[in-house]
Amino acid sequence: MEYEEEGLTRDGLKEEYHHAIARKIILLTVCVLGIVLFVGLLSLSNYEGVGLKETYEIIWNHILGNEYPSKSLFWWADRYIWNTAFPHALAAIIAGAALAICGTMMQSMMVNPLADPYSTGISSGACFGAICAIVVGVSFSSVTGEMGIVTNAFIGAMVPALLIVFLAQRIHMTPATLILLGTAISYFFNSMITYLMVTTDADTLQSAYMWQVGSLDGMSWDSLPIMAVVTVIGSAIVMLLSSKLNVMSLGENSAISLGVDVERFRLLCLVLMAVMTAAIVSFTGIIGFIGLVAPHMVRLVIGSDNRFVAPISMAAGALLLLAADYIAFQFSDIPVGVVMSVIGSPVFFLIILWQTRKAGAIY
Amino acid sequence: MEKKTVTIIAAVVVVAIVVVAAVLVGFGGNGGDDSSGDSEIASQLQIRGNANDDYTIDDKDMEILEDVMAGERSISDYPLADVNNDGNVDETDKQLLQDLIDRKDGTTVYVLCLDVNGEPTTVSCTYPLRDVVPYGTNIQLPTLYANGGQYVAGYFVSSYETAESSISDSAVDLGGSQRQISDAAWKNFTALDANTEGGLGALLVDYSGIAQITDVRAADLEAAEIPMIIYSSADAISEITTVLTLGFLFGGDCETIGVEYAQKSWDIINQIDEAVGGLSDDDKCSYICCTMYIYICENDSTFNSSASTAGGLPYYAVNQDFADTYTGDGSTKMQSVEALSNFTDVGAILNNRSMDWGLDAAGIEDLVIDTWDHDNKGVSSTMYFKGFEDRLVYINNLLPGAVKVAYMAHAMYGDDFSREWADGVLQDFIDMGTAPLDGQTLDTILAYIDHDLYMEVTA
Amino acid sequence: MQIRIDNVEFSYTSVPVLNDISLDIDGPAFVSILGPNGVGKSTLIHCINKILQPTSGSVFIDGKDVKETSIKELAKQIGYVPYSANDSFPLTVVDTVMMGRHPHSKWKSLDNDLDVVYDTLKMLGISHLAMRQFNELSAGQHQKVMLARGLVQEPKILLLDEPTSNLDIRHQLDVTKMLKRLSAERGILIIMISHDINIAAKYADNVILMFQGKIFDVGTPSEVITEDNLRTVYGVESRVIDDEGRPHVILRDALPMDERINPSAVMAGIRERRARDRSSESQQVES
Repeated sequence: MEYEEEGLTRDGLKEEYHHAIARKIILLTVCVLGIVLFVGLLSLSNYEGVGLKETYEIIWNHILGNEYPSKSLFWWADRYIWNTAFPHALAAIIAGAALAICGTMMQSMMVNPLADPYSTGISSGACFGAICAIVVGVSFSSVTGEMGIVTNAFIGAMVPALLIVFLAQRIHMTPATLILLGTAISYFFNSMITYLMVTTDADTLQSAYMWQVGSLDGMSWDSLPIMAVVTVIGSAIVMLLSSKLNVMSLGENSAISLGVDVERFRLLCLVLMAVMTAAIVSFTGIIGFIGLVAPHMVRLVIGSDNRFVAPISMAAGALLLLAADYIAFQFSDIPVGVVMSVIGSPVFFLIILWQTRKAGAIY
Repeated sequence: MEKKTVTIIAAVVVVAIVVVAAVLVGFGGNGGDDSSGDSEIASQLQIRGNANDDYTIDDKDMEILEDVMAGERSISDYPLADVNNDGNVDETDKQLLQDLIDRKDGTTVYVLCLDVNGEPTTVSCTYPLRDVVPYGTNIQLPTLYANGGQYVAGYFVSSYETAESSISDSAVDLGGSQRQISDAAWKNFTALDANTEGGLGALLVDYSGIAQITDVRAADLEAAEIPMIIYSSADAISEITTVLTLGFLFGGDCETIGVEYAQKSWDIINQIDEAVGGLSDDDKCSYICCTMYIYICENDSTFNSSASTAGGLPYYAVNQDFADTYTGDGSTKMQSVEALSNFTDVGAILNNRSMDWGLDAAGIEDLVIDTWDHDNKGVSSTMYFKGFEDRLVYINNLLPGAVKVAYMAHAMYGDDFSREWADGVLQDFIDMGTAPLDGQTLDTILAYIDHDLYMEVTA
Repeated sequence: MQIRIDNVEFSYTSVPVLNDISLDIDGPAFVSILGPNGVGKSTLIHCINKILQPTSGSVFIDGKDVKETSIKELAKQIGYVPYSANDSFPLTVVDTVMMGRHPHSKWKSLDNDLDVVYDTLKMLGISHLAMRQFNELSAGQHQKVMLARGLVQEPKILLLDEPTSNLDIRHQLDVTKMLKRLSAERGILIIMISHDINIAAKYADNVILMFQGKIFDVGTPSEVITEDNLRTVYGVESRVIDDEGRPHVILRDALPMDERINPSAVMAGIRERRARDRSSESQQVES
């Protein structure tokens, strides 16, 4: 055959391929640097006289074990940074990373760019559990109090997931079926939530609603271990599965022909995603948009190869949530879920618009 | 003159004097302000060293301490003789008590209050207490009633501009809210500690807001050695103790006004008890307490205990259905306008609302209408209380506990306690010189709303 | 190798798509499946590589029942080139084609896989497109990439669902010729669904003609592609001539779809006209 252009040599191809990989690593580095910056910003105490430079200084001193004179401004700033700001920032990083990678997995698995971790009704299940605890004081386990809300939310989140898994053994599940089932389950739980919220008093109503909206307030070192462990293990598994996810995104028929047992794999992903999302959401409430937007932002820059999109979306998700948290922090009392939605929706809007101008499809 | 005539005239004069005196004294029984400090102050000052559990620390306490040291009295009968809470009574305690009796500056004083779980505990701070930060209306107002506003270094929230105007002008607004201390507000609090010479004197917390003192924040307080004094003072009698104790801690004129406040309050309480305390349950007036317009106070609510102090019989003692429905210590929203329809035999409905003062006549009218006819999301309050208008009253929750109790007594036992009498109680507290009521009159405070007032205003 | 299809039936709900299909396909060979739309060609293929499960009957590959083979095992043996590609998450051409290596992939195989990919791209003449985004290609280039993906699987059996429908005539011929050559060189059993009867006729070793969910005829192109078969199955009037040993179809007319027209009258008219033509031809020959 005659070629229209000068073809690549074998080595040329390999070179270009490795270049593309290098680009992806650069993006990852940028995200990580951004994270470090925002951790510093978040720790910015707004104590007068403690600026960004001093903040990093305080963190450094703490790591070295140096102490400040008791009850002085820097002493308080040090306490604040380590007891409040740091766990808060870490929670943002963990939650952002976990939600982003769940979003990546969900979108590949459903072959749907608009899927996010909440598409299967997990969020409304979790809300229902939490609100049962908050409004009615009913606990699904023997745990009460603050942790009671968390365990309730976790159990509530797993209900839709397990229901879908159970149904999947019996009927043929396409991605469309999954999402529709998830929507139906959402409707059900939402109606129960509305009922509970409507019949309660203003205070409880506000607590319940605040929980739903999603916030990182009150994150302490105690809440972190579970979130961290689940995220680390879960994302490691996802990254191992990332080439299979690539195959899934080719469509069901192609995936089967390439050796992926689509139905079983989808169930595995579903359970994995449910556990990760539930673990995060039980502590933070429903923070939306990260699972939806972070993977897209990453794909814009480096394409759709999940072997890279998965880990880098974690960094991007963490950065995104940190940024949103910082903005929420400036306007104190606004929960981070609200800020996330406010910046998430126009960003998403723009992504779609910008891409449709470039090419026919979304990318 | 004849001896007979002189005798008769003398007798008549004597009788006349006696009658006049009797009339004067007798009049005082139903509205006069001749309460001359007769009643015992039944509050126990919550300070270790108050060995005899009365309302102050004085030489009587020293006598008891010496007896305990000598072995003549037992420490288990007089636990507060152990001034420094170390388990025994020795020279150190004696020295401490002497300093307390002398009201010496810089003394370490051991305060009895609650811990984060609501259990009794002892917290130490420095006398006299300065640079305090209150959190919660139920502790903020008692602080101000003890004239402690001058010693407030910062506050989380101030919702009542006039009533809380005695908060020092130099106090810092820390930016919290009624329901929440945000991270930012706590940071402001800690910055205040850093910027205050010698650090903050104490954090005064109302127990109902204790959830905002997380483990992290409690650890902050401990590390910075800021004492946290927690009280639950919504109930009238608890409030008296709190004002008394805070007054003592602030020292000087605060201690004086604390004692006066307690004295006056107990006078009123005893007066009410004498008149109606001995009534059998059948003769007592039953009451249902409400709050936030249409929320019914549950059986163990502090509003109920105040109303019982006012001589009322809680309705849950009369009606088992009511008792079963409204268990708890908070309040429940009325499910519908029919919520009260099965309880038509209740004697009085005592509704509590916090209303700032410093109003003019027009302001009072507006407030009356807004309260009585409040819009609860499209349904007027009057719908909920239909058929109970003659028994419904609104009482201003910002008033001193004893004043609220007085108005409650008037609402339930109007024959024994007239409106003038109750107003007189309020006037007494104004005259006493408590800071929140400073500059107010009966016309600038909306203390009490009943159906008559509402009709008057809407006529 | 051999594919044995044994009494396979398939229906989606109550409407049967495949009715009692029994067939042996021996390889290596280049086999073409022909038939009009909706006759079950894709469904048959999907039953072979487990994309669909037959409602009854079995498929045996080299004597082993497909039901007992895992999907991953099957993917090492059977390659598949679909009719259309999913555009939601496009990759570069290289990455797309690399997917085909998935059933064989090991941890360290990146460079080796790249070699295989490159060679295949070169063979199809699209190596210059290697680093381009998949969704920026034309439809014809799409199909070549899909084909490449199937080929890098290095399968024993390759199933293709209309792989050339969007290519221009040059590339249609070239690709089909290449497939035939591959089946011989590499010993692959290639089964291709095609709409172009002539190109299939030109290159296929065997033709499977399907009609109404059943196998209508099987055999060499000359045996299967006949005027009668075409009339019955496709509903067209044609003339089949011989070209270099292979049948070539010249289309004449379509049987009317319009249900108001009496088909047997039309058939009679058509037969009459053909008789007239033949007699005029033979007259010309004679004279």
